[in-house]
Amino acid sequence: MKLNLTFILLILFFGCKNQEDINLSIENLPSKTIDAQREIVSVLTGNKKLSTDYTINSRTTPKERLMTRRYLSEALNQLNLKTLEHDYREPNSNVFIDLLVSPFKGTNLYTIIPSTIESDEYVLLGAHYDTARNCPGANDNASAMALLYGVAKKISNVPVRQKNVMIVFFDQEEEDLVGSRAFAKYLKKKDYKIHSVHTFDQIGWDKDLDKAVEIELATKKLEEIYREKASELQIPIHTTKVNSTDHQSFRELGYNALGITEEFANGDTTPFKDTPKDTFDTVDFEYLESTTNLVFEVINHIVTQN
Amino acid sequence: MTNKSSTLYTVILVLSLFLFLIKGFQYAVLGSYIPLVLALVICMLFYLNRKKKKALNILIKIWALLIIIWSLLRLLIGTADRFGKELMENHLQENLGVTGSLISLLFLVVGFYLFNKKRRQQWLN
Ligand SMILES: [Zn+2]
Repeated sequence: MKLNLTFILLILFFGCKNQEDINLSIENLPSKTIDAQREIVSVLTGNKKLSTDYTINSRTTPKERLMTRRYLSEALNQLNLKTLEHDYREPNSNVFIDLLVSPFKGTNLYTIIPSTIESDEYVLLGAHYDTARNCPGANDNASAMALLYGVAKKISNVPVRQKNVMIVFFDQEEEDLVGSRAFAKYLKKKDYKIHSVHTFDQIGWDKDLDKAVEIELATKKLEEIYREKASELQIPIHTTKVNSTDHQSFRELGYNALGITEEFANGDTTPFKDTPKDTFDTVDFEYLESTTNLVFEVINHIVTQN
Repeated sequence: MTNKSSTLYTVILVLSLFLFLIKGFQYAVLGSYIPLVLALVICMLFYLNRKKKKALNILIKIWALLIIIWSLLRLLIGTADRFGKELMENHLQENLGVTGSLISLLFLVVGFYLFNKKRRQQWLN
């Protein structure tokens, strides 16, 4: 009987697996933004090895997500930005599942580009970093992570900023927006003063080469800024009511939030979403660059205005 | 029933209830209260009937059955998931993977152990 009990305890503790550490030091990212973005998408999708002994094939398991965060963290560190982690636990979508399994457990990664003039106001830019199972997730959503890197880089170089910019990489979007929901709650709890929330999902497909973007559920004021900057850059802009991604989590808690994406509702969107074919070589980097410029102009406008 | 095996039966029964309570607290902290309410109700029923052999017998039977159903459901969902790739969330797969299945199996054994009529009767007497 004693043996049996030992066995039982052994199995119970079997669940506590330790994560081996992989030494990660990435070479400097190219100085040209579009080249850096290409590099980032390449590593995040397993097109290029992360280190000699690790390749990010998808961003689903705890280990894969950890390695993704470590890479993103390194990339931001190269811009002299420190990253912070927001760990959370969330219940499942219904009590029945709660009774069967453990709560969601995840980590959002974020960084703050501080204002140059004292301010307690934040503009939040976010993109999810997880993928569906066994998917490289190049378009969905390495493209948007690369966009955030590009915007962070450009915004850091703006000499006078009246607002802080918070860049967030959400965990577990593919699972009912768990990561962004947890982050929105966290902002509320910490009483952050948020000017607006801009979330990005799928910014890598432009078969018709028109550079068009869709903005989802923007308030009138935000839509105006996007329209103005888009017209300056000659980028067609469409508004839609798509609600199925991270910005929903923030709108639900009363934040001024919108989503930016490729022509998802219009149909000029990757046919490979959530499949193993969502690979590096399907990403249109000129389109990503064009959208990065648009978002930078919008955020620049917001942070330089009083 | 020997003293030793009687103690083991008690330990396993109490431990199984205790683990359910922990689960309840774990979720209550996150704002999902039903697991805790259920756990408290079940523990309360055990406590109130601790001296009534008949009721206790029924309670253990139900509790053991619930544990068996719980384990089987987890095993079933975990197995179905391994064959149908896109069946469900990563989170469920993580929970019902190899480690998760071992835990389910362990509780399946616990369920049958508690349910066993001979052992139950002996323990009650
Ligand atoms: Zn996505």
